[in-house]
Amino acid sequence: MLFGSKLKKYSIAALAATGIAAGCGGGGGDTGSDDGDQIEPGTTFAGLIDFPPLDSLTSAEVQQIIAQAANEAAARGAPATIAISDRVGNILAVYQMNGAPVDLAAVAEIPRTIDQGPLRGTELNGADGSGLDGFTVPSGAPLGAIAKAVTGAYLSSSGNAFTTRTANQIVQENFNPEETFQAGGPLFGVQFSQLACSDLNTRFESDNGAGTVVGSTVGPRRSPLGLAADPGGMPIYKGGTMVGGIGVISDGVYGIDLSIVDIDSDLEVQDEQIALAGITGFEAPEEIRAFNITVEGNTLRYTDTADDRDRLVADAATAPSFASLLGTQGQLLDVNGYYDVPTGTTADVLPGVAYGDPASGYMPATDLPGGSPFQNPNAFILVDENGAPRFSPKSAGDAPSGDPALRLKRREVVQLIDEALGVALAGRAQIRRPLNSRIQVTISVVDTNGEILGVARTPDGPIFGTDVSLQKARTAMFFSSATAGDEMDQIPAINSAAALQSIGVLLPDGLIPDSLTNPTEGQTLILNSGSSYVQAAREFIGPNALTGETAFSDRGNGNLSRPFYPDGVNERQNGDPTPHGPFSRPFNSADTVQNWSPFSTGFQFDLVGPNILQHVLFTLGLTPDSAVGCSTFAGGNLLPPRDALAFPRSALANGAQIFAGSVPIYRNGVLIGGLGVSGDGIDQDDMISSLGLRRAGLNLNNGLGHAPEAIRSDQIVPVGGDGSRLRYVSCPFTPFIDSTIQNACETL
Amino acid sequence: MKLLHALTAIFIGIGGATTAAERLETGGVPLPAQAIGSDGVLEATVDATGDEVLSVHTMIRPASTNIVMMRDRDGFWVNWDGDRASLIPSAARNDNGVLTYKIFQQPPAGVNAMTVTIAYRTPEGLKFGWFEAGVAREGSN
Repeated sequence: MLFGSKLKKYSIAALAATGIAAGCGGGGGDTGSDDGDQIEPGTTFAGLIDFPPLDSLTSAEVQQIIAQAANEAAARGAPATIAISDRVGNILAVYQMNGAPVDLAAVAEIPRTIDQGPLRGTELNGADGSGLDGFTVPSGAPLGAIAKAVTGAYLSSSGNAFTTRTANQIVQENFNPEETFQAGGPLFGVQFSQLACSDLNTRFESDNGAGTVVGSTVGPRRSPLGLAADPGGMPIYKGGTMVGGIGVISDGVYGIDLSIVDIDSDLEVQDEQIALAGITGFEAPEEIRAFNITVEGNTLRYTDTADDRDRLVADAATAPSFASLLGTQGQLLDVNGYYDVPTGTTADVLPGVAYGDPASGYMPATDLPGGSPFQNPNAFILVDENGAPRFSPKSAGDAPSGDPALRLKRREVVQLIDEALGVALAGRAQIRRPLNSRIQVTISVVDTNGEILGVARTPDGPIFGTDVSLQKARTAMFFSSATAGDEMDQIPAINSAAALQSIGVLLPDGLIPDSLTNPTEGQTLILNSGSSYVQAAREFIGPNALTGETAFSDRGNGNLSRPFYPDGVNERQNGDPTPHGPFSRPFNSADTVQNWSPFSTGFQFDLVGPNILQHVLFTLGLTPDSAVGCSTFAGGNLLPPRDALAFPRSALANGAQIFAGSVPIYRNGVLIGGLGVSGDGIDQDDMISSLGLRRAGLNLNNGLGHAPEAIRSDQIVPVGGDGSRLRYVSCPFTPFIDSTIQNACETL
Repeated sequence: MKLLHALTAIFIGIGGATTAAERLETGGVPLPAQAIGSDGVLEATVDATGDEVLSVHTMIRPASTNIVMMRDRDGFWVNWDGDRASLIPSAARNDNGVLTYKIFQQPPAGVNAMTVTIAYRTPEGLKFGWFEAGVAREGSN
């Protein structure tokens, strides 16, 4: 229930930019939500909403969920690896049944024969050698199960229950998958978030190169393979409260479902069925399950079943106790960096922490001893194990265009976040039920070094948006900066074990064993050079691309990161292929190793692929962990820090993100940072970031605001793009609950 | 049991975890990581021979935060705003040009892992380097 409403008052002089038309979606005859210095009533909200109840899984409940899942797996003759996470990504148990496939293959498009487990002899799609496509992780089944569990937990909230099948639907080249001439999935690229190298997500334990070191006790945690899009990961609810996720691997495959118009076979759906059995009694409220939520006219998928129960073969009520299974039908597994098994008994199954309790790493900002730094009373913040803020608003330490006086100040960071919170909570959520729920998101602000100046969120935003909002803020800032092209030019191609070793990724005898199909020759990653992307960008959008002459929102950058340009246009009218965005891999290259897939997106993946590999090797006990900060390695940095004294990490220290929801921040035409938003629909995220920045500028009246219209990405019509220009922001129609405004971003 | 399985015979090594003989640079240089032992003490040694050291500086950034603290001469930690001009001097022992930074006797409460930046000022400018440090897990090397 929502209650209370207080409109924010403004007494601001109009900016010179007022009335500038934006490259913004929407229509109607109004003047947008901001007309000069007047903020339209109903387009900001600073009342108080309900916070999610404090609740969590007990150890006994975790055991019950595993036992129910194992019961279904046994009845199917499909021994499985099962992982349980709480809402903030703490791994509460990893259980592997006797006979379960232990290895993991990541596959997508090109046929590959698998020779183990229940799928032995099956021709799979995938394995063309690009990125993680076809990559095999020996003993990696627990990693896949953990990634699925974390995904089930992170994509869901009190207002929406999404599974990894939902994720599968929204990360592919068309939305819906296989519906050609439809734009790419709304969360295109989200699979490469929550990365092990993130400097935001916490570590349970790590090895920094000098030995195993103690990590943090709070979330949000990282995920070993990013977010999963392979069915078999589901959210867990307790009395309607979102408390965690379950992930199952029974087929040894960490894949993707390329076709959602069919119903998966019993074999293909068994991971999901085992997970579904596991959460018996812990299901999401039916109203908020994905199949009751639409995006862009498409109904989202939850499971491949008629009523979520009809394809189960075992009765969860007859499941034996977990204690009776342990040691007889399977065992708890110790997973480096995620989960410890000191005794091998039920005592090692952990309880979850309640989201919103400081122990979870999230809490209301108003609970801080000194009070909240934000005016909006709904702000939640990230805290450490002592309940102290981790990303309290602070001033930048950079020197934009060489001038420290231009840097973002603390009060400006606070204003940006407050304005964005106000827009979000006034807006109507795309992905939440009941209808007319308020938008829930996370908001991040960075400076031009990529330093985090502030992170805050609404009370019930999906957890994934925490890391993603930061990725988006950094990505908009990075691609808008004057040195982006020069920095990318220095990133070498990685196409051999020697190349990996040259940056400090140490491999066993130079090889990564491929125990599934190629045990003697090994495998490696194949990653393009940064200069190849720079060259492609300059051929596609002009010779001065990536020199700071253009302001790239993540909407615009996302256009350039799709395998089709324009987005979703699979081919031209005459049947010729459309070009791919310069930051994307091609979709149908004759050289299949170069092809795009959800496991190999282009620059986004190539920047962090070695980090993912390093971390996987760490989980196997073979190497130190990936460094804190993506693209950083012992032997050299793919993307060196811009000012290592102020911020000793790369400007994309938690990876890049390529779906909409961020804008670069300028002061009098000079780039000074980035503002990122994530957690609801992408048009909503766009609106919150762009209106949040505009309103902070109005309120501060000191030159802070959007990029000049003339340099925004929506001024660019790429060569070969059939006249289709890039976008800057695209706002939803009738986005506010208490306002009939149609064109929210008219006056950006 | 760790997930080694068939790969247990494969050994991966990494360079020694010491900062001895490392030299700092004006653009900054990454230094080898350190594990903080059970005594909690963290020191770092760098070779500054040939440089005229005007002042030394020590900063830490607790893992997964945006907090940066600098150490004063007495071992107290205060927030640093990122501005080079506001750096306060810390302490280091100078043995014929080899600087030993005494970073802490015990890590700040609740801080298990961090990025440490050590620096010294010369007439030519600030030289610095950084490394990852973390409290060693009980029973690990």
